[in-house]
Amino acid sequence: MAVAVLVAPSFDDASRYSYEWSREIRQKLEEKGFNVIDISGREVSRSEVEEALKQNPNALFVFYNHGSRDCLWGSRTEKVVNLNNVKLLSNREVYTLACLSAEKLGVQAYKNNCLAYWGYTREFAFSTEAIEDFKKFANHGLIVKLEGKSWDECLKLTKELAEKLANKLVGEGKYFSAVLMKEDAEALVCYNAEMPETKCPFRKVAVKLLGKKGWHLRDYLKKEYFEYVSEATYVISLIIYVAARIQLPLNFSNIDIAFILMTISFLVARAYNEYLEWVLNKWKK
Amino acid sequence: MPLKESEILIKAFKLEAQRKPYERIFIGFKTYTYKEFASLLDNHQKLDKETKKLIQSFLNQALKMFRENEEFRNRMKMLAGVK
Repeated sequence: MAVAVLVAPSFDDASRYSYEWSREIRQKLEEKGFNVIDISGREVSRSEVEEALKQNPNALFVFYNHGSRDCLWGSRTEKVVNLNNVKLLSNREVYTLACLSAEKLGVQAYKNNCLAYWGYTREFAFSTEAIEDFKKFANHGLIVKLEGKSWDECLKLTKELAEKLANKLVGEGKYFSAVLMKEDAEALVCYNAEMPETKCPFRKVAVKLLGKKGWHLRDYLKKEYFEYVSEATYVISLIIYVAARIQLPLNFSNIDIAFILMTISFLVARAYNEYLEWVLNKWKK
Repeated sequence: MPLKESEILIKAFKLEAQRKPYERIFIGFKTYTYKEFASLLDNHQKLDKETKKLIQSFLNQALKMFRENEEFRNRMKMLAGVK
């Protein structure tokens, strides 16, 4: 039986609404045969969420509550998921209704092989006068996903729905709500249907050349076997160089220049890799 | 002198807010009544950085809709009394 971990804390006015909206999600999941582990309706602790995710490694994770750039909140003071435990989102689909979390947390989740991250790059806003319309928009992506659509289609359909709802709200004279609906739709992303934006020029080139694989190129390059291959290649070159050098006269020749250049490029590549590792660790802290 | 697009929008939003005193907007951890939110629209020089960004983003989206959506434009103009 497929498992879904649903976390919808409730501790202020906004989260009481998001908790209410999550009830429809729970019902739809159960209708589709999911075993729903529901941690909702109150303040939720980090340890509860971590335990549920650890015990259900590939389960769908649904989160309805406040978020920030680098975390999802279980209460006003406790981050249930942030950059330190983002690996718990690896190899699972994640559907969030949380402000901003797609900006950093979602990108980091995608880097850690999260299968899909549905979230918002800016604040999620809603109004009391159009509460049903915002609920419909917030839940739509997962509902169509459960009907068997791809994440790509879900994102497209949800953005189309937002456009229709915004026009309906304009027609009803609900102008604040119409603008907020359009803003929410623009902030909505799904890292799977699309790739996170990157500022790294190397990654941009890799994405252009290799598509989605290019986004994860650094991970491929960091695999141990690749390091072994690069080191083994260097050692073989060293042996060939020494063997060739023995045959040649003592004068400085092109083979020496070639070998020096190869050594420098090998060292630069290793240093760059170490530097990236250092930056990443510093960023995580 | 004719009103600028942003002035029309702010005027219309303020009028909408007057008509709906009990409606609220939730943006992240923040909550505003329509009246509170509308009062921030033309007063954003005095706001903290985060709120300023929220307001600017809202106004940019509204301006975009004003330029692209004819019904929205006409209704906002009518509400602001410029049509």
